[in-house]
Amino acid sequence: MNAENPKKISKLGLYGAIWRINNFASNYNFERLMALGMCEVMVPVFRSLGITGDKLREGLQRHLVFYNTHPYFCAMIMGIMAAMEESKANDDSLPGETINDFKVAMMGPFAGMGDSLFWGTVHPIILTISAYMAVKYNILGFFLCFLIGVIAILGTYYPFLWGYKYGTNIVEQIRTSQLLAQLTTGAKVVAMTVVGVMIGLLIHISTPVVLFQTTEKGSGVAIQGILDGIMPGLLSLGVLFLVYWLLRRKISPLVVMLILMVLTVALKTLGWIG
Amino acid sequence: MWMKAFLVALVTGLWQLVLYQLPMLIMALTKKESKFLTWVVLIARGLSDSANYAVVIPAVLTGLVLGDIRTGLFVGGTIQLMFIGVFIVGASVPPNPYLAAILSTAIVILTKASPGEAIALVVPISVVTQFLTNGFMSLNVFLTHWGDRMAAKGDTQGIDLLNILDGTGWMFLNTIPTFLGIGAGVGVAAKLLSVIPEWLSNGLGYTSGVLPALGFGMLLLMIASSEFWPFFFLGFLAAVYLKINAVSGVVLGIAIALIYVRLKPEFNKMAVKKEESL
Repeated sequence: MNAENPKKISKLGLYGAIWRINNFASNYNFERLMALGMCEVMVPVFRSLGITGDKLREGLQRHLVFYNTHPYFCAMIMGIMAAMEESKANDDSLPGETINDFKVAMMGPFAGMGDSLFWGTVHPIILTISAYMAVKYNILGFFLCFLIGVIAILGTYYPFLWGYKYGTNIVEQIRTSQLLAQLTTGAKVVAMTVVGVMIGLLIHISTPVVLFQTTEKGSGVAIQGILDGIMPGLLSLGVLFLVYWLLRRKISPLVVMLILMVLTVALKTLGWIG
Repeated sequence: MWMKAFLVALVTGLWQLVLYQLPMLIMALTKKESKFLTWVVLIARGLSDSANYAVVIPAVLTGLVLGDIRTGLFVGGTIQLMFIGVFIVGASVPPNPYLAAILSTAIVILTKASPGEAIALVVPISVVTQFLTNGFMSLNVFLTHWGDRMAAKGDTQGIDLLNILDGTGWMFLNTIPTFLGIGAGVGVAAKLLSVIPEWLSNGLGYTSGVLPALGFGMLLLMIASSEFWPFFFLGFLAAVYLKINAVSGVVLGIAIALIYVRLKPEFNKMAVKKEESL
């Protein structure tokens, strides 16, 4: 241990970790999920700190254990891990288990935050708008899709550097600041509103059925007219809630898709919808 | 046909060999990090992530190669809407629309089938993709054990190479079925689709207009709660009565979100505390 000249991860070492983060989900598997990827990210960290021999073997094995979290927020945990390994390299009294325990303790909360912020809201909003433009033959929809990539790049690059810079403090900051909670709540509101708009805009279903039709023109009662009198788009809403109800009963999405296909083909052939 | 199949595979995935895997391989073999190559990898990751989550991208690129971008836009958009709420949560493997988007687009362009008919093929294709992904993830277990042995030897380069090998494997998992599917599968699909009677074709065309409900249903399953349902209905009413479009929907959503987050009591308490501490 050298108090005057502490070991520090070089700038290039950090870049080495950053490109490895972008490869870390490659070995995603059923046994230890992202373990090998986590281990790989630590490779440039150990190299840069000049760790060799038994300590290197120990360090690599320490990071080859079960690990699974959100692919963007994981970068922040990895940054914190890099900072912790750095302090361990300078002061060996920090036990390896502490590093591991901290990592395991962070997995769940970070996965939850990442899933609800990115998978649950930001991604669906981008995907919905771009897909809507695409089905209207607007080429902007195609370019809008690349926003996903921009988020992936920024969402791993900065969190990693923040995690490294602020170390374990950042977790406490996130817990107390509530900024993330506000962001997630806000994003959920936007996502729910957009889903509502999209159901109204995209799902086209109507019925041509006319009851009590006689030979006289304009006679009879058109069902669609009655439904529109209650609220326009009532059938679209009905389809959505049918799907939602089926999915909530844990029916596989692919089965629901087949049910929708059979239903629409049958009803269309019978002439009940059109 | 095989030439076209190769071109589609190239623009939808094979390019990653040069822009994604090669820079990583160079850095791993030389054991030297490079700022420039890191950024190449980052940008390649961004492009590859976009194409994996937003299937409009592979569909349009397929359309570009086969000479019909409009079909790519429509088919890709429809499939993207169907899968909007599908994502990996925990260790589950969801059905993957990536290959389905490419093959459906190719089938519509090459066989003059209707989009509705091609979208009927999405289910079987995405199940095949899910099956392949599952198989690959099981195979990955062996590589992790291999990694264990490397870690025991302190072989850092080996761990790097193992991961890069794995990444290359994922890429081929997408591109080989693309190549084979377009090269050999489109002819088979054309024969299958040619026997579809008109009533079925009409019905399936109708189905593609209803299927977005599935994507949104899955999304609601994840984010909907009693706190957030009112916003859904606000959006719905704005669409059916005011006929607002998608982008205005986002603006409306952001406006409501800003008001809601400001007024929500839990967040307000924090704001008051902060002001006091200032």
